[in-house]
Amino acid sequence: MSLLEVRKVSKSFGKLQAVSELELSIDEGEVRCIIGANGAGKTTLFNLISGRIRPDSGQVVFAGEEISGMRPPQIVRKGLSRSFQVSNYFPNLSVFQNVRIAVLSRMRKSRIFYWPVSRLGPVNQRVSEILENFNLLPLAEVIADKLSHGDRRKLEISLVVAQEPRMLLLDEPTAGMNSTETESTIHLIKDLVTKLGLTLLLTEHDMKVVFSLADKITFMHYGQVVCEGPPQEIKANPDVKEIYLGGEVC
Amino acid sequence: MPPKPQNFKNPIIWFFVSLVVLWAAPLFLPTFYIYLITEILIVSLFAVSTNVLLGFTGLLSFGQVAFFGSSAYAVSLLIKGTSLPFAASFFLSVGISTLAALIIGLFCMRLRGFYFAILTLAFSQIFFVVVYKWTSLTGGDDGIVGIPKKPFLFFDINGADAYYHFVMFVVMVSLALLYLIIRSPLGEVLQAIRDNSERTEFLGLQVRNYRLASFVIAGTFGGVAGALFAPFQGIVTPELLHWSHSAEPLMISLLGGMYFFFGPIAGAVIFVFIKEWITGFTEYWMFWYGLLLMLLIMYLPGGIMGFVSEHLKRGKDDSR
Repeated sequence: MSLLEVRKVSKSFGKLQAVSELELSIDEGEVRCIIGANGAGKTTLFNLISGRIRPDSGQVVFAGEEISGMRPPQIVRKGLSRSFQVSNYFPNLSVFQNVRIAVLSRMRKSRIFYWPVSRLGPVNQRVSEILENFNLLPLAEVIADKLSHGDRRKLEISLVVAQEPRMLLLDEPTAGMNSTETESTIHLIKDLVTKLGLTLLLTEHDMKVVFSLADKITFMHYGQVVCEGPPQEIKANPDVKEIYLGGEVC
Repeated sequence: MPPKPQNFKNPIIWFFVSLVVLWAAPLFLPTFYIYLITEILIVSLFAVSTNVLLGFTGLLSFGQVAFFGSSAYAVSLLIKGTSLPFAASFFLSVGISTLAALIIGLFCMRLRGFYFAILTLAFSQIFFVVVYKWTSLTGGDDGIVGIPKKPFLFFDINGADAYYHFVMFVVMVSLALLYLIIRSPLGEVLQAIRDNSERTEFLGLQVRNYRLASFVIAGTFGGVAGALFAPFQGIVTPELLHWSHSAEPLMISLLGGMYFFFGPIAGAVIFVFIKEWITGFTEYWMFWYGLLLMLLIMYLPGGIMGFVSEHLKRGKDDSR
Protein backbone atom coordinates (compact mmCIF):
# COMPACT_ATOMS: atom_id res chain seq x y z
CA MET A 1 0.00 0.00 0.00
CA SER A 2 1.35 3.42 -0.81
CA LEU A 3 2.31 5.60 2.13
CA LEU A 4 2.87 8.78 0.17
CA GLU A 5 0.99 9.85 -2.89
CA VAL A 6 1.62 12.97 -4.90
CA ARG A 7 -1.34 13.60 -7.17
CA LYS A 8 -1.00 15.95 -10.14
CA VAL A 9 0.94 18.52 -8.15
CA SER A 10 2.06 21.71 -9.90
CA LYS A 11 4.08 24.67 -8.73
CA SER A 12 5.39 27.63 -10.65
CA PHE A 13 7.53 30.56 -9.63
CA GLY A 14 6.58 33.42 -11.92
CA LYS A 15 7.03 32.08 -15.43
CA LEU A 16 9.10 29.12 -14.32
CA GLN A 17 7.12 25.90 -14.07
CA ALA A 18 9.19 24.14 -11.39
CA VAL A 19 6.91 21.12 -10.96
CA SER A 20 4.21 20.23 -13.45
CA GLU A 21 1.31 17.82 -12.81
CA LEU A 22 3.67 15.47 -11.06
CA GLU A 23 2.50 12.05 -9.92
CA LEU A 24 4.41 9.92 -7.46
CA SER A 25 3.47 6.99 -5.28
CA ILE A 26 5.73 5.48 -2.65
CA ASP A 27 5.03 2.24 -0.81
CA GLU A 28 5.55 1.71 2.89
CA GLY A 29 9.11 0.49 3.55
CA GLU A 30 10.35 1.48 0.12
CA VAL A 31 13.59 3.35 -0.57
CA ARG A 32 12.99 5.66 -3.48
CA CYS A 33 15.58 7.83 -5.06
CA ILE A 34 14.82 10.80 -7.23
CA ILE A 35 17.43 11.73 -9.78
CA GLY A 36 17.61 14.52 -12.29
CA ALA A 37 19.79 17.41 -13.33
CA ASN A 38 20.03 20.61 -11.31
CA GLY A 39 16.79 22.53 -11.77
CA ALA A 40 14.76 19.41 -12.52
CA GLY A 41 12.47 20.29 -9.59
CA LYS A 42 13.68 17.78 -7.00
CA THR A 43 14.08 20.22 -4.14
CA THR A 44 10.82 21.98 -5.08
CA LEU A 45 9.10 18.62 -4.87
CA PHE A 46 10.59 18.09 -1.39
CA ASN A 47 9.45 21.55 -0.35
CA LEU A 48 5.94 20.79 -1.60
CA ILE A 49 5.72 17.48 0.24
CA SER A 50 7.14 18.82 3.51
CA GLY A 51 4.93 21.92 3.61
CA ARG A 52 7.68 24.47 3.09
CA ILE A 53 5.73 25.75 0.09
CA ARG A 54 2.16 25.14 -1.05
CA PRO A 55 1.28 23.61 -4.40
CA ASP A 56 -0.64 25.71 -6.93
CA SER A 57 -2.75 22.66 -7.66
CA GLY A 58 -2.87 18.96 -6.89
CA GLN A 59 -2.73 17.00 -3.66
CA VAL A 60 -0.16 15.40 -1.40
CA VAL A 61 -1.54 12.50 0.60
CA PHE A 62 0.36 10.87 3.44
CA ALA A 63 -0.95 7.72 5.15
CA GLY A 64 -4.37 8.31 3.62
CA GLU A 65 -4.62 11.92 4.79
CA GLU A 66 -4.22 15.03 2.68
CA ILE A 67 -1.27 17.06 3.95
CA SER A 68 -0.96 19.68 1.21
CA GLY A 69 -1.81 22.99 2.88
CA MET A 70 -0.68 21.85 6.33
CA ARG A 71 2.10 23.73 8.12
CA PRO A 72 5.47 21.96 8.56
CA PRO A 73 5.05 21.23 12.30
CA GLN A 74 1.74 19.44 11.63
CA ILE A 75 3.26 17.38 8.84
CA VAL A 76 6.18 16.41 11.08
CA ARG A 77 3.71 15.30 13.77
CA LYS A 78 2.10 12.98 11.21
CA GLY A 79 5.44 11.20 10.91
CA LEU A 80 6.98 12.77 7.82
CA SER A 81 10.33 14.48 8.41
CA ARG A 82 12.90 15.99 6.09
CA SER A 83 16.50 17.01 5.95
CA PHE A 84 17.91 19.92 3.97
CA GLN A 85 20.43 20.15 1.17
CA VAL A 86 22.26 23.00 2.88
CA SER A 87 22.83 21.93 6.48
CA ASN A 88 20.12 23.59 8.51
CA TYR A 89 20.78 23.43 12.24
CA PHE A 90 21.10 25.65 15.32
CA PRO A 91 24.52 27.27 14.92
CA ASN A 92 24.95 28.72 18.43
CA LEU A 93 23.84 25.60 20.31
CA SER A 94 26.04 22.61 21.03
CA VAL A 95 25.69 19.39 19.05
CA PHE A 96 24.04 17.85 22.10
CA GLN A 97 21.54 20.70 22.39
CA ASN A 98 20.79 20.53 18.66
CA VAL A 99 19.71 16.92 18.85
CA ARG A 100 17.99 17.55 22.20
CA ILE A 101 15.60 20.01 20.52
CA ALA A 102 14.49 17.24 18.16
CA VAL A 103 14.18 14.72 21.01
CA LEU A 104 12.24 17.18 23.20
CA SER A 105 9.82 17.66 20.33
CA ARG A 106 9.52 13.92 19.73
CA MET A 107 9.01 13.07 23.40
CA ARG A 108 6.65 16.02 23.80
CA LYS A 109 8.66 17.57 26.59
CA SER A 110 9.35 20.87 24.86
CA ARG A 111 6.78 22.85 26.85
CA ILE A 112 8.20 22.10 30.28
CA PHE A 113 9.34 25.39 31.80
CA TYR A 114 9.75 24.50 35.47
CA TRP A 115 12.52 21.92 35.33
CA PRO A 116 16.09 22.17 34.03
CA VAL A 117 16.49 20.39 30.72
CA SER A 118 19.83 18.96 31.87
CA ARG A 119 17.91 16.98 34.52
CA LEU A 120 15.55 15.22 32.12
CA GLY A 121 17.13 11.76 32.27
CA PRO A 122 15.29 9.90 29.48
CA VAL A 123 15.62 12.83 27.08
CA ASN A 124 19.37 13.19 27.62
CA GLN A 125 19.87 9.46 27.39
CA ARG A 126 18.06 9.31 24.07
CA VAL A 127 20.19 12.19 22.75
CA SER A 128 23.34 10.32 23.75
CA GLU A 129 22.14 7.18 21.96
CA ILE A 130 21.49 9.07 18.75
CA LEU A 131 24.85 10.85 18.91
CA GLU A 132 26.55 7.53 19.49
CA ASN A 133 24.87 6.03 16.42
CA PHE A 134 26.15 8.90 14.32
CA ASN A 135 29.63 8.89 15.90
CA LEU A 136 28.98 12.41 17.12
CA LEU A 137 29.25 11.70 20.85
CA PRO A 138 32.85 12.96 21.14
CA LEU A 139 31.66 16.23 19.63
CA ALA A 140 28.61 16.57 21.92
CA GLU A 141 29.87 19.75 23.59
CA VAL A 142 31.06 21.44 20.40
CA ILE A 143 29.08 24.45 19.19
CA ALA A 144 27.44 23.31 15.94
CA ASP A 145 28.86 26.18 13.92
CA LYS A 146 32.39 24.90 14.60
CA LEU A 147 31.76 21.46 13.05
CA SER A 148 33.41 20.26 9.85
CA HIS A 149 31.23 19.98 6.76
CA GLY A 150 30.91 16.21 7.04
CA ASP A 151 29.92 16.39 10.69
CA ARG A 152 27.33 19.05 9.91
CA ARG A 153 25.78 16.70 7.37
CA LYS A 154 25.70 13.97 10.00
CA LEU A 155 24.11 16.35 12.49
CA GLU A 156 21.56 17.31 9.84
CA ILE A 157 20.51 13.68 9.36
CA SER A 158 20.60 12.92 13.09
CA LEU A 159 18.09 15.75 13.68
CA VAL A 160 15.66 14.04 11.34
CA VAL A 161 16.25 10.59 12.72
CA ALA A 162 15.74 11.88 16.28
CA GLN A 163 12.13 12.52 15.37
CA GLU A 164 11.59 8.81 14.70
CA PRO A 165 9.51 9.48 11.61
CA ARG A 166 7.56 6.94 9.58
CA MET A 167 8.91 8.43 6.42
CA LEU A 168 12.11 10.33 5.82
CA LEU A 169 12.88 12.82 3.07
CA LEU A 170 16.61 13.27 2.60
CA ASP A 171 17.72 16.03 0.26
CA GLU A 172 21.19 15.09 -1.02
CA PRO A 173 22.35 13.60 2.28
CA THR A 174 25.94 13.10 1.12
CA ALA A 175 26.40 16.46 -0.66
CA GLY A 176 29.96 17.69 -0.22
CA MET A 177 31.12 14.67 1.78
CA ASN A 178 34.38 12.89 1.03
CA SER A 179 34.28 9.25 -0.01
CA THR A 180 34.83 7.83 3.50
CA GLU A 181 32.11 10.04 4.94
CA THR A 182 29.80 9.13 2.06
CA GLU A 183 30.34 5.45 2.65
CA SER A 184 29.68 5.65 6.38
CA THR A 185 26.55 7.71 5.71
CA ILE A 186 25.23 5.16 3.22
CA HIS A 187 25.89 2.47 5.77
CA LEU A 188 24.05 4.49 8.39
CA ILE A 189 21.04 5.12 6.17
CA LYS A 190 20.83 1.43 5.19
CA ASP A 191 20.97 0.54 8.84
CA LEU A 192 18.19 2.94 9.71
CA VAL A 193 15.96 1.63 6.99
CA THR A 194 16.32 -1.97 8.06
CA LYS A 195 16.28 -1.35 11.81
CA LEU A 196 13.41 1.10 11.94
CA GLY A 197 11.55 -0.06 8.84
CA LEU A 198 11.57 3.49 7.49
CA THR A 199 10.19 4.59 4.20
CA LEU A 200 12.75 6.74 2.50
CA LEU A 201 12.61 9.28 -0.29
CA LEU A 202 15.90 10.85 -1.23
CA THR A 203 17.47 12.96 -3.91
CA GLU A 204 21.08 12.37 -4.74
CA HIS A 205 23.63 13.24 -7.37
CA ASP A 206 26.12 10.56 -6.42
CA MET A 207 25.12 7.56 -8.56
CA LYS A 208 27.03 5.20 -6.32
CA VAL A 209 24.77 6.19 -3.44
CA VAL A 210 21.67 5.97 -5.62
CA PHE A 211 22.34 2.48 -6.93
CA SER A 212 23.43 1.10 -3.58
CA LEU A 213 20.37 2.38 -1.69
CA ALA A 214 17.35 2.61 -3.93
CA ASP A 215 14.66 -0.02 -4.44
CA LYS A 216 13.24 2.15 -7.14
CA ILE A 217 14.40 5.23 -8.99
CA THR A 218 12.34 8.11 -10.35
CA PHE A 219 13.90 10.24 -13.03
CA MET A 220 12.75 13.88 -13.16
CA HIS A 221 13.29 16.36 -15.95
CA TYR A 222 11.85 19.89 -16.15
CA GLY A 223 9.44 19.31 -13.29
CA GLN A 224 8.00 16.09 -14.65
CA VAL A 225 8.56 12.38 -14.14
CA VAL A 226 10.21 10.95 -17.25
CA CYS A 227 10.36 7.38 -16.05
CA GLU A 228 10.60 5.24 -12.94
CA GLY A 229 11.56 1.70 -12.11
CA PRO A 230 14.16 -0.54 -10.45
CA PRO A 231 17.80 0.66 -10.66
CA GLN A 232 18.81 -1.74 -13.45
CA GLU A 233 15.90 -0.67 -15.61
CA ILE A 234 16.66 3.03 -15.12
CA LYS A 235 20.32 2.47 -15.84
CA ALA A 236 19.39 0.91 -19.17
CA ASN A 237 16.75 3.48 -20.10
CA PRO A 238 17.91 5.36 -23.23
CA ASP A 239 16.22 8.65 -22.18
CA VAL A 240 17.98 8.67 -18.84
CA LYS A 241 21.25 7.81 -20.48
CA GLU A 242 20.92 10.62 -22.93
CA ILE A 243 19.66 13.36 -20.62
CA TYR A 244 21.36 12.61 -17.37
CA LEU A 245 23.76 9.78 -16.88
CA GLY A 246 25.85 10.41 -19.98
CA GLY A 247 28.91 8.24 -19.86
CA GLU A 248 29.00 8.22 -16.06
CA VAL A 249 27.75 4.69 -15.37
CA CYS A 250 27.38 3.20 -18.76
CA MET B 1 26.07 11.41 28.97
CA PRO B 2 24.07 14.54 29.77
CA PRO B 3 26.45 17.50 29.70
CA LYS B 4 27.55 18.83 33.06
CA PRO B 5 24.70 18.08 35.44
CA GLN B 6 26.60 20.03 38.10
CA ASN B 7 25.77 23.10 36.04
CA PHE B 8 22.72 23.60 38.13
CA LYS B 9 24.30 23.40 41.55
CA ASN B 10 26.58 26.41 41.15
CA PRO B 11 23.79 28.87 40.40
CA ILE B 12 21.93 27.67 43.49
CA ILE B 13 24.99 28.38 45.65
CA TRP B 14 25.45 31.74 43.93
CA PHE B 15 21.82 32.54 44.50
CA PHE B 16 22.06 32.06 48.27
CA VAL B 17 25.41 33.85 48.54
CA SER B 18 23.99 36.89 46.68
CA LEU B 19 20.87 36.76 48.82
CA VAL B 20 22.92 36.92 52.05
CA VAL B 21 25.24 39.66 50.76
CA LEU B 22 22.36 41.75 49.45
CA TRP B 23 20.39 41.20 52.66
CA ALA B 24 23.30 42.46 54.73
CA ALA B 25 24.06 45.45 52.49
CA PRO B 26 22.17 48.02 54.62
CA LEU B 27 24.42 47.10 57.55
CA PHE B 28 27.49 48.55 55.88
CA LEU B 29 26.23 50.87 53.13
CA PRO B 30 24.74 54.36 53.54
CA THR B 31 21.12 54.93 52.53
CA PHE B 32 22.11 56.62 49.27
CA TYR B 33 23.66 53.38 48.01
CA ILE B 34 20.76 51.30 49.25
CA TYR B 35 18.52 53.53 47.17
CA LEU B 36 20.82 53.03 44.20
CA ILE B 37 20.90 49.24 44.58
CA THR B 38 17.10 49.17 44.83
CA GLU B 39 16.98 50.92 41.47
CA ILE B 40 19.60 48.56 40.01
CA LEU B 41 17.55 45.57 41.13
CA ILE B 42 14.36 46.87 39.53
CA VAL B 43 16.13 47.89 36.31
CA SER B 44 17.91 44.49 36.24
CA LEU B 45 14.63 42.62 36.40
CA PHE B 46 13.14 44.75 33.64
CA ALA B 47 16.24 44.25 31.47
CA VAL B 48 16.51 40.48 32.10
CA SER B 49 12.82 40.03 31.27
CA THR B 50 13.25 42.02 28.05
CA ASN B 51 16.32 39.97 27.23
CA VAL B 52 14.25 36.76 27.33
CA LEU B 53 12.86 38.16 24.09
CA LEU B 54 15.94 39.84 22.68
CA GLY B 55 18.82 37.54 23.56
CA PHE B 56 17.05 34.21 24.01
CA THR B 57 14.21 34.29 21.47
CA GLY B 58 15.70 36.70 18.95
CA LEU B 59 12.75 39.10 19.06
CA LEU B 60 13.35 42.84 19.10
CA SER B 61 10.47 44.48 20.96
CA PHE B 62 10.15 48.22 21.46
CA GLY B 63 7.01 47.73 23.50
CA GLN B 64 8.18 46.29 26.80
CA VAL B 65 7.55 49.59 28.51
CA ALA B 66 3.83 49.00 27.98
CA PHE B 67 3.94 46.14 30.49
CA PHE B 68 6.27 47.87 32.92
CA GLY B 69 4.18 51.04 32.75
CA SER B 70 0.73 49.49 32.82
CA SER B 71 1.64 47.55 35.92
CA ALA B 72 3.19 50.64 37.55
CA TYR B 73 0.01 52.62 36.87
CA ALA B 74 -2.28 49.78 37.91
CA VAL B 75 -0.54 49.29 41.24
CA SER B 76 -0.55 53.05 41.89
CA LEU B 77 -4.28 53.35 41.15
CA LEU B 78 -5.10 50.31 43.26
CA ILE B 79 -3.01 51.53 46.20
CA LYS B 80 -4.44 55.02 46.12
CA GLY B 81 -7.96 54.34 44.94
CA THR B 82 -8.97 51.16 46.74
CA SER B 83 -8.67 49.62 50.17
CA LEU B 84 -7.15 46.42 48.77
CA PRO B 85 -4.10 45.14 50.65
CA PHE B 86 -0.83 45.88 48.82
CA ALA B 87 -0.14 42.22 48.09
CA ALA B 88 -3.45 41.92 46.23
CA SER B 89 -2.82 45.14 44.31
CA PHE B 90 0.67 43.93 43.46
CA PHE B 91 -0.40 40.57 42.03
CA LEU B 92 -3.43 42.07 40.30
CA SER B 93 -1.17 44.59 38.54
CA VAL B 94 1.22 41.87 37.43
CA GLY B 95 -1.80 39.92 36.17
CA ILE B 96 -2.85 42.95 34.13
CA SER B 97 0.60 43.02 32.49
CA THR B 98 0.36 39.31 31.73
CA LEU B 99 -3.03 39.77 30.13
CA ALA B 100 -1.83 42.79 28.16
CA ALA B 101 1.20 40.81 26.94
CA LEU B 102 -1.04 37.93 25.88
CA ILE B 103 -3.42 40.15 23.92
CA ILE B 104 -0.71 42.29 22.29
CA GLY B 105 1.38 39.17 21.68
CA LEU B 106 -1.45 37.48 19.79
CA PHE B 107 -1.45 40.38 17.34
CA CYS B 108 2.31 40.86 17.11
CA MET B 109 3.14 37.17 16.57
CA ARG B 110 1.65 37.41 13.09
CA LEU B 111 4.62 39.52 12.08
CA ARG B 112 8.34 38.99 12.05
CA GLY B 113 11.53 41.02 12.25
CA PHE B 114 11.22 44.71 11.52
CA TYR B 115 7.41 44.66 11.32
CA PHE B 116 7.16 42.95 14.68
CA ALA B 117 9.38 45.63 16.25
CA ILE B 118 7.29 48.45 14.77
CA LEU B 119 3.99 46.88 15.86
CA THR B 120 5.19 46.51 19.47
CA LEU B 121 6.25 50.16 19.34
CA ALA B 122 2.81 51.15 18.05
CA PHE B 123 1.07 49.26 20.85
CA SER B 124 3.24 50.85 23.51
CA GLN B 125 2.42 54.30 22.06
CA ILE B 126 -1.28 53.45 22.36
CA PHE B 127 -0.72 52.77 26.06
CA PHE B 128 1.16 56.05 26.35
CA VAL B 129 -1.62 58.06 24.69
CA VAL B 130 -4.33 56.43 26.81
CA VAL B 131 -2.46 57.25 30.01
CA TYR B 132 -1.63 60.74 28.83
CA LYS B 133 -5.16 61.63 27.74
CA TRP B 134 -7.30 59.84 30.31
CA THR B 135 -6.73 62.60 32.84
CA SER B 136 -9.66 61.73 35.11
CA LEU B 137 -8.15 58.33 35.86
CA THR B 138 -4.41 58.73 35.42
CA GLY B 139 -3.86 62.40 36.23
CA GLY B 140 -2.68 62.95 32.64
CA ASP B 141 0.56 64.84 32.34
CA ASP B 142 0.86 65.25 36.13
CA GLY B 143 0.76 61.51 36.72
CA ILE B 144 -0.02 60.01 40.09
CA VAL B 145 1.90 61.35 43.04
CA GLY B 146 2.36 60.35 46.65
CA ILE B 147 2.13 56.57 46.23
CA PRO B 148 2.65 55.15 49.72
CA LYS B 149 4.54 51.95 50.60
CA LYS B 150 1.75 49.96 52.26
CA PRO B 151 2.58 46.80 54.24
CA PHE B 152 3.03 43.66 52.14
CA LEU B 153 1.14 40.87 53.94
CA PHE B 154 2.57 41.14 57.50
CA PHE B 155 5.72 42.97 56.51
CA ASP B 156 6.18 46.67 56.99
CA ILE B 157 8.04 47.86 53.90
CA ASN B 158 7.94 51.57 54.61
CA GLY B 159 11.42 53.13 54.73
CA ALA B 160 14.42 52.82 52.44
CA ASP B 161 15.93 49.68 53.99
CA ALA B 162 12.63 47.84 54.43
CA TYR B 163 11.55 48.56 50.86
CA TYR B 164 14.98 47.56 49.63
CA HIS B 165 14.61 44.19 51.33
CA PHE B 166 11.20 43.73 49.79
CA VAL B 167 12.47 44.60 46.29
CA MET B 168 15.51 42.40 46.74
CA PHE B 169 13.41 39.41 47.72
CA VAL B 170 10.93 39.81 44.85
CA VAL B 171 13.66 40.47 42.27
CA MET B 172 15.80 37.53 43.40
CA VAL B 173 12.85 35.13 43.28
CA SER B 174 11.85 36.50 39.85
CA LEU B 175 15.40 36.16 38.52
CA ALA B 176 15.59 32.60 39.85
CA LEU B 177 12.33 31.76 38.07
CA LEU B 178 13.55 33.35 34.83
CA TYR B 179 16.83 31.46 35.11
CA LEU B 180 14.94 28.21 35.54
CA ILE B 181 12.80 29.00 32.49
CA ILE B 182 15.87 29.73 30.34
CA ARG B 183 17.48 26.46 31.45
CA SER B 184 14.26 24.45 30.94
CA PRO B 185 13.21 22.65 27.75
CA LEU B 186 11.08 25.67 26.88
CA GLY B 187 14.12 27.96 27.23
CA GLU B 188 16.17 25.69 25.00
CA VAL B 189 13.44 25.72 22.35
CA LEU B 190 13.39 29.54 22.50
CA GLN B 191 17.13 29.59 21.82
CA ALA B 192 16.62 27.20 18.93
CA ILE B 193 14.00 29.58 17.50
CA ARG B 194 16.45 32.46 17.87
CA ASP B 195 19.07 30.47 15.96
CA ASN B 196 16.87 29.02 13.23
CA SER B 197 13.11 29.34 13.41
CA GLU B 198 12.48 27.43 10.18
CA ARG B 199 14.37 24.38 11.35
CA THR B 200 12.49 24.50 14.64
CA GLU B 201 9.23 24.23 12.68
CA PHE B 202 10.60 21.27 10.73
CA LEU B 203 11.28 19.54 14.03
CA GLY B 204 7.55 19.67 14.71
CA LEU B 205 7.37 22.72 16.98
CA GLN B 206 4.88 25.56 16.48
CA VAL B 207 7.22 28.53 16.56
CA ARG B 208 4.45 31.07 16.96
CA ASN B 209 3.19 29.55 20.22
CA TYR B 210 6.66 29.49 21.74
CA ARG B 211 7.31 33.07 20.71
CA LEU B 212 4.02 34.04 22.32
CA ALA B 213 5.00 32.22 25.52
CA SER B 214 8.27 34.14 25.53
CA PHE B 215 6.41 37.42 25.01
CA VAL B 216 4.04 36.70 27.90
CA ILE B 217 6.91 35.70 30.21
CA ALA B 218 8.78 38.92 29.36
CA GLY B 219 5.63 41.00 29.84
CA THR B 220 4.81 39.38 33.17
CA PHE B 221 8.22 39.95 34.71
CA GLY B 222 8.39 43.42 33.18
CA GLY B 223 5.13 43.95 35.05
CA VAL B 224 6.71 42.75 38.31
CA ALA B 225 9.46 45.35 37.82
CA GLY B 226 6.84 48.04 37.15
CA ALA B 227 4.81 47.15 40.26
CA LEU B 228 7.99 47.46 42.35
CA PHE B 229 8.97 50.72 40.70
CA ALA B 230 5.84 52.80 41.42
CA PRO B 231 5.94 52.70 45.26
CA PHE B 232 9.74 53.01 45.11
CA GLN B 233 9.57 56.33 43.26
CA GLY B 234 6.32 57.37 44.91
CA ILE B 235 5.25 58.86 41.58
CA VAL B 236 4.32 57.63 38.11
CA THR B 237 4.15 59.87 35.05
CA PRO B 238 3.31 59.20 31.40
CA GLU B 239 6.99 59.43 30.43
CA LEU B 240 7.33 56.01 32.00
CA LEU B 241 5.29 54.65 29.11
CA HIS B 242 6.95 56.59 26.32
CA TRP B 243 8.37 54.26 23.70
CA SER B 244 11.84 55.77 24.05
CA HIS B 245 11.87 54.31 27.56
CA SER B 246 11.65 50.85 25.92
CA ALA B 247 15.10 51.37 24.47
CA GLU B 248 16.57 51.39 27.98
CA PRO B 249 16.37 47.63 28.74
CA LEU B 250 17.50 46.90 25.18
CA MET B 251 20.59 49.09 25.56
CA ILE B 252 21.29 47.62 28.98
CA SER B 253 21.12 44.11 27.52
CA LEU B 254 23.47 45.05 24.69
CA LEU B 255 25.86 46.69 27.11
CA GLY B 256 25.91 43.71 29.47
CA GLY B 257 25.81 40.97 26.82
CA MET B 258 22.48 39.76 25.50
CA TYR B 259 23.51 36.14 25.00
CA PHE B 260 24.16 35.76 28.73
CA PHE B 261 21.49 35.45 31.37
CA PHE B 262 23.45 37.68 33.74
CA GLY B 263 24.45 40.12 30.97
CA PRO B 264 21.58 42.57 31.55
CA ILE B 265 22.31 42.58 35.29
CA ALA B 266 25.92 43.64 34.64
CA GLY B 267 24.51 46.18 32.18
CA ALA B 268 22.04 47.51 34.74
CA VAL B 269 24.74 48.02 37.37
CA ILE B 270 26.81 50.07 34.95
CA PHE B 271 23.82 51.90 33.52
CA VAL B 272 22.53 53.09 36.91
CA PHE B 273 25.98 54.04 38.20
CA ILE B 274 26.90 55.94 35.04
CA LYS B 275 23.56 57.72 35.06
CA GLU B 276 24.09 58.69 38.70
CA TRP B 277 27.69 59.70 38.14
CA ILE B 278 27.26 61.69 34.91
CA THR B 279 24.08 63.45 36.06
CA GLY B 280 26.28 64.84 38.86
CA PHE B 281 27.91 67.25 36.42
CA THR B 282 25.72 67.38 33.31
CA GLU B 283 22.07 66.87 32.55
CA TYR B 284 23.03 65.48 29.13
CA TRP B 285 23.99 62.16 30.60
CA MET B 286 22.22 60.29 27.77
CA PHE B 287 24.71 61.77 25.32
CA TRP B 288 27.68 60.36 27.22
CA TYR B 289 25.94 57.08 27.82
CA GLY B 290 25.15 56.85 24.11
CA LEU B 291 28.76 57.49 23.27
CA LEU B 292 29.95 54.84 25.68
CA LEU B 293 27.43 52.36 24.32
CA MET B 294 28.57 53.07 20.77
CA LEU B 295 32.19 52.39 21.67
CA LEU B 296 31.26 49.22 23.55
CA ILE B 297 29.21 47.84 20.65
CA MET B 298 32.03 48.60 18.23
CA TYR B 299 34.81 47.12 20.34
CA LEU B 300 32.98 44.64 22.60
CA PRO B 301 30.22 43.20 20.43
CA GLY B 302 29.48 40.48 23.00
CA GLY B 303 28.94 43.05 25.76
CA ILE B 304 30.64 43.00 29.13
CA MET B 305 29.79 39.36 29.81
CA GLY B 306 30.98 38.36 26.34
CA PHE B 307 34.29 40.05 27.02
CA VAL B 308 34.65 38.45 30.46
CA SER B 309 33.74 34.95 29.27
CA GLU B 310 36.13 35.22 26.32
CA HIS B 311 38.97 36.14 28.68
CA LEU B 312 38.09 33.41 31.17
CA LYS B 313 38.17 30.88 28.34
CA ARG B 314 41.50 32.17 27.10
CA GLY B 315 42.89 32.06 30.63
CA LYS B 316 41.80 28.43 30.96
CA ASP B 317 43.34 27.49 27.61
CA ASP B 318 46.61 29.20 28.53
CA SER B 319 46.86 27.41 31.84
CA ARG B 320 46.57 24.01 30.17
